[in-house]
Amino acid sequence: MLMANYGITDRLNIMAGLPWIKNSSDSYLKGQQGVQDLSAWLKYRPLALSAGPGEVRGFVTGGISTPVSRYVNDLLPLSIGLRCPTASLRAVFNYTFHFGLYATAQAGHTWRGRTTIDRDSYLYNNQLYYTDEVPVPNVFDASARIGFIRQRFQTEFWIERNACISGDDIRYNDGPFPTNKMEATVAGWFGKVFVTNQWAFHASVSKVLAGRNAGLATTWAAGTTYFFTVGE
Amino acid sequence: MKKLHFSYLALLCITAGVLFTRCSKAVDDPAYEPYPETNLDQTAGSWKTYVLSSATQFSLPAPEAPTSSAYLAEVEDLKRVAATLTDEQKDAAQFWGSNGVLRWHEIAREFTAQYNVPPNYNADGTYPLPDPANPTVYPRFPFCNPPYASRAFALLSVAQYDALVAAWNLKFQHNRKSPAHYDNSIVQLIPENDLPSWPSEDAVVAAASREILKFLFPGEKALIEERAEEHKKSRLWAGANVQSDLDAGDSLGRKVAERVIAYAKTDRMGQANNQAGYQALKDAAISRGYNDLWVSQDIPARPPMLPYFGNVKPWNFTDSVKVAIRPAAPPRAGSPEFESALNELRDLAKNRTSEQWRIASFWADGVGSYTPPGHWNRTACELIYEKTYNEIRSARALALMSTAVQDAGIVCWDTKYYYLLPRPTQVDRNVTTSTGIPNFPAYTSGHSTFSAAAAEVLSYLFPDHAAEMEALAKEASNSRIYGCIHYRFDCEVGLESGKKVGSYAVTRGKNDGAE
Repeated sequence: MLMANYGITDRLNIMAGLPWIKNSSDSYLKGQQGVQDLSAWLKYRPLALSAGPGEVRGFVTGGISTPVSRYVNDLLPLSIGLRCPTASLRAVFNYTFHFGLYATAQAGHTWRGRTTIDRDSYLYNNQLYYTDEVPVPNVFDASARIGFIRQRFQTEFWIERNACISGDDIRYNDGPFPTNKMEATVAGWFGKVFVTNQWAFHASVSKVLAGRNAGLATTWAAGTTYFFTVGE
Repeated sequence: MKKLHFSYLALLCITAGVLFTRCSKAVDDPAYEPYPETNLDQTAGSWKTYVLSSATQFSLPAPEAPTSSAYLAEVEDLKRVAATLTDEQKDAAQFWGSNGVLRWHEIAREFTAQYNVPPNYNADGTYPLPDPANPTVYPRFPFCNPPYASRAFALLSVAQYDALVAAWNLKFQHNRKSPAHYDNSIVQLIPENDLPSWPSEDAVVAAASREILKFLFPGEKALIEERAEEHKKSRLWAGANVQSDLDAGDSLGRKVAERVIAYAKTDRMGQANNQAGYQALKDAAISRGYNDLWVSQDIPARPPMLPYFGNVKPWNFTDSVKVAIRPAAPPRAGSPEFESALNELRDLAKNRTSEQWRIASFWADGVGSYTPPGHWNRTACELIYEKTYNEIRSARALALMSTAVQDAGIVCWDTKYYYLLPRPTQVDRNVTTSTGIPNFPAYTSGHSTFSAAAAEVLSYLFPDHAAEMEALAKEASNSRIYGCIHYRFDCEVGLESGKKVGSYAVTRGKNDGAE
């Protein structure tokens, strides 16, 4: 994943990201890989003030994303994404004690546009549509996080709820489809350690506690990040 | 600095705006609109029928004359209906007014897609069997797989066609026209023509389709009856038929469909899923020298799909012709020819291009789709609409093609279980696929056989589209190689075989009286 972050002012950042994803399958189906969606966000901080033993901060972020390759989106759950444009708005509140303990609450809404699939007919809501254009439902999400952060170290526990606002259910014994009304309540942990000023290792684990059209999966992840500074 | 950050915001908003033109949820679905039918096919009452002995097998009491008081009273009823039409009724008049034959095929395709899901396995690893006596209990009946779908479209088309031949015979025998011909205060909401309207071709099609679809999809009885009722009523709302046109048509359509259902009950489909007889097929293949036989790639292993579908009665030739045209044996595993076909797939699995992915997905027509027979049914309906065929010519085209497509399924399934050739992935696990591996042997390719048969008949019916149809069949066939679920020889021999099967329907078409 490539990410860029640029501080336009003290209060306004612009960020961009472009992930490359690869997976494989235990079945006979071919695993998927490719460059996924290019995204960009503006992050604005209208609120930052000292309050008692810490600081309270509020952020608003607005983002858009668009697919940059024609990856296969009709082979869920193997597909690396849904290949639709999105736009999102999010509000974030954070309180951080001076010694590093913090709590964050956030809520967001993501509008998702149409995607096109490689076939020109599909079932949606038990009705047959004769087109390759597929409407992808919008998503609401909210999460609460508690963590501890120091200059070289961060640990965080979180719980998140994300739910499509519309959509249909996966037909029994059929595969998932971009129109599905996916819902999940997920709990997780995230940790990050800097070994130098530029280089960090991070790891996470999350578990879907409840869901609809979503697998009750446990996900382990580990990674490393190298920070480049391109101009001050 | 403030200025700068406003310009960034503006840029983001413009980009978002551009993206949002693609974000509207509305998707475009093609619409059929009513069209004037210029060709009345006056002699269609003498066209060759499939299941009926002839157009005159069923008779109806003669209609009342247009001057009779009974008829005049029906016309008055029609005027009362016209005076109080709702918007929904006007929409229904347009919806069904385009071409009722095509509408019922649309409904059949939707059922096919809805019912095309294989049952999930039980806790003990066995698979439950859909039960026609309890169609709404899981696993719902039917599992509308490609062979089942091919027969469904054939039975629907044949019932529509035979019923319309019988109707056309009566139409021109009695020659009672539509009510607007006798009373110029009747305003038809759909294009008028000179076709005699007793018995109503729409009621014939509605009743025949209703009975056949209830037989094929018994769990949808209520919905099917509701659609048929709306179809018939739409003719009153459109001002195109009086009630006695509809009643006569319904009666005729129902009788013909009952004959077609009686045929279907003896076409040996009832024995197509004879799993107890599967061992005999394996023994026979071994006795022919085939030792590495196909096994299911589903987990847990699923009983083979309809092992005796190859034994179902064909429409356009006899059982002995079926045996005579069965494709020759495929290359043996380990032979240079087999290895080279497998090597092509090993390479494709590693280096499948995005265009090959696209073609494989486009033609996959797998779980939750209307299957390859449904795909070709749609193509045929689009061509019929383009040519503004009347109902009987539409039904004839669909019957010629759909019977050929079912025959293709029969010949193909017979071949599959004769040689029991393993799928490529069974031979080499490195042959990863882009789509689900069908639960039956490889040789010959079903897609190729179905598609070539369909293309052969459509090329005959629509010669200006012949090159296009042949190219579509070739692409459908190639898609199975690109997906790595078939060897090239499965597809090439399947195309040849399907073309041969299709030629029998073409011969029928040249001699059925419609040319």
